[in-house]
Amino acid sequence: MATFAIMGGNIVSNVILADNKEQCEAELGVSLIEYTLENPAGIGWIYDETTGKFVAPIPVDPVVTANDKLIEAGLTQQEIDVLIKEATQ
Amino acid sequence: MSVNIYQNSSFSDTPFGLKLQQTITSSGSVTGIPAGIQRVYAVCIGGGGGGGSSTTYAGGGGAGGFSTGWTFVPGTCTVGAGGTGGSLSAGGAGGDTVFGMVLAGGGAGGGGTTASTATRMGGAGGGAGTAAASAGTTSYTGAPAGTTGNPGNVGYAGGGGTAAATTGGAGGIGISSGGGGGASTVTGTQTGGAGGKGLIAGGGGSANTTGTGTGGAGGTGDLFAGGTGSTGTGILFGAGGGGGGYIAAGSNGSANTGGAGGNGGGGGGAANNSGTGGVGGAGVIYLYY
Repeated sequence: MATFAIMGGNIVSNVILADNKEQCEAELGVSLIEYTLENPAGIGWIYDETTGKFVAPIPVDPVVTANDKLIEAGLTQQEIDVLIKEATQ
Repeated sequence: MSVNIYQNSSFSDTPFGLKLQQTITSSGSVTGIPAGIQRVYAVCIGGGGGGGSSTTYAGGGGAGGFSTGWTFVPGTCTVGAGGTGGSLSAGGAGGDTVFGMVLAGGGAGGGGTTASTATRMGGAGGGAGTAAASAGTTSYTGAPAGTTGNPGNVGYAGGGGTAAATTGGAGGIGISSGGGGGASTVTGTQTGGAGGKGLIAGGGGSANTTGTGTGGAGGTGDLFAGGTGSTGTGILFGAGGGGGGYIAAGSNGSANTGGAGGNGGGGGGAANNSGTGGVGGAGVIYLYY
């Protein structure tokens, strides 16, 4: 059993288990690319044909980014939650 | 010794009189349905989310979705793979499992230095890393999901636990439960959030400290136990255990490496420092007729 990414263009739309790539492609009518622990893939990841590697998408949620930066600055999640609560009161 | 099959939920949660006829673990054509069988009762389980990885906070993966119902017999089906474990990144979301009109989404990956991909169709939320936790998602039958929190909130698909100093938030309870959040400060005793309890369970979050770190235990499944988190003094310990799946128990976290989620949708445990998050448990389809 191997793991495959179902591709929609160069973006992974699902990750599945299958016994045989060619047979599964024919049966499901999709394009598959095998991935491994060394070259992992996930839903929403982008396949780079040049390198043959899957690349995780860059998060774009501004709320997440701000939270990330505060944690990277040394604040705990609890401290951030308190700051947000104070700022919104 | 006698065995009562009705103590096994894979038998007892189906309409009376039906028998388990097929267990499908690979995508492709559907074969072996006798002529005249127009409808089957399908149990679908999505792949578990992979555990996240970070040098500070990392969350466990959410459990794969669980869906049952009557469906026509499709020509093909897909079985979701378990999400890959993160390597200084979020874990990958589990794959969606689809049989006819019964659909079960994969669990969300645990957060790492980046946020995980959102889950869908009843997959549970992943725990928080340095990036935020993710909520569970509404199932294909419309059952509500839990939001993130400390602990993650209860839902058919539980929400992920948030990150916190000292003790990470536990994953939300659900049929598919959420992954635990990470814990991190420079010194002191730290414990990662445990995966939530559920039929299928999420993975534990990691603990990062130069003191005593203990990774969160994988969530306890109704059928199989979660793995234990690794424990020890210093930053080389503290990975989370994998959540219990529908088919097998979650694996224990080992040093910095998160435990794998139990086969049948268990969420992977989070990794600490340079370790790799545990892979999520594979999805599966059961057919009764």
